[in-house]
Amino acid sequence: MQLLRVSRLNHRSHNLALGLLIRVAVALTFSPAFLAGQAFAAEYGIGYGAIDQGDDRLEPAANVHAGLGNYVVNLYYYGREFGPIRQDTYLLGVAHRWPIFGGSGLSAHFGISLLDERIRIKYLAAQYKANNSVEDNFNVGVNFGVAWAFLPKGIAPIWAQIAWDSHIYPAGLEGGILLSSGRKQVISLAVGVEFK
Amino acid sequence: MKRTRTGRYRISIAPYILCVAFFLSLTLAAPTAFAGALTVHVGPPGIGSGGANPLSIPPVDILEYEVEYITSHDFETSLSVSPGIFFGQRTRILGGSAYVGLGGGIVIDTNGAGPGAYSSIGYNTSGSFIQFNMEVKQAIGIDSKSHKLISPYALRIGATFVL
Repeated sequence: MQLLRVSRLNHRSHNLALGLLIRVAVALTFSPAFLAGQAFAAEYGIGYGAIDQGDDRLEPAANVHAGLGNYVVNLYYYGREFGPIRQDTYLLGVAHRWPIFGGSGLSAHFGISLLDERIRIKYLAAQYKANNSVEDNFNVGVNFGVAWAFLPKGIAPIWAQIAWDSHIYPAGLEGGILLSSGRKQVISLAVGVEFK
Repeated sequence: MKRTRTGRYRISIAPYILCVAFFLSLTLAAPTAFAGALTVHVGPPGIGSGGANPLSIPPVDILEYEVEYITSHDFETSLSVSPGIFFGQRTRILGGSAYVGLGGGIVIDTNGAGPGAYSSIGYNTSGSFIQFNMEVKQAIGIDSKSHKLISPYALRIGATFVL
């Protein structure tokens, strides 16, 4: 019973935290304070990504992208199921971006990354239901990557980009001192619209 | 780089010497006034078998080291066991104290080695001769034997010596 209470509490705090994160990201993205003197236009898109979790194996992921001026927000989601166990992973990167190598469409970005890995155990059989639980594992790290908006300017407002990102998280307290870390690498293709 | 039955890594040196010679020749052929900078990094790489392990104390593992030579025109050659051996160019950001590097070379991790690309972001403190440096580097390549994707990374700190 205690376990169930904790699970429900975790579930509630997860929803609150995720909601807060999304609100902050959206507020940051749409804030007019970031419009003045920016090297980039605003663009919004959805895409497909491939995530590597440190073992050179790729998992398919969904991507929602928003960029406004010099700031870029990417949300990635992927999940998988093993019998009664379901894993859902949310990656949110909020980063500053800079154009690199002149007007080539290449940009680099660096910012913070927030991770939520949710493990849900759900048995249908009545005798195992006491073991059902929901567990959220949060982490905060850095997000670094490069992106290439490869479509010619003439076909605006259609926009597309390929991005290559690393989300690096310190492995516990020693991560900051001994540089041990975990990483989720994302290669993504997003398409959407661009506004000047 | 292949793991033997005893758990040790076996490295054939000849191809790496050829790669080093090739990328150094690119650096020397790049437009440069020749005076540049040399950065020595230490930090554990993520070599395709989970995340990066803690730095060894003292740091005596060759896997943890990287040396970079940067020309005055911001062309860079970086040498390490993993993520690999690369040649590329830097773009200065944040007024010149930070940089983004992009280029190609030989990517190496525990699952193989092969041609690929890298990108990095780093920061140098100010200093006329020695600067503190911190850099994140990600690489992606195709293993030349299995033709599978390999993607090591490294978060490293070190010192930049202005030459």
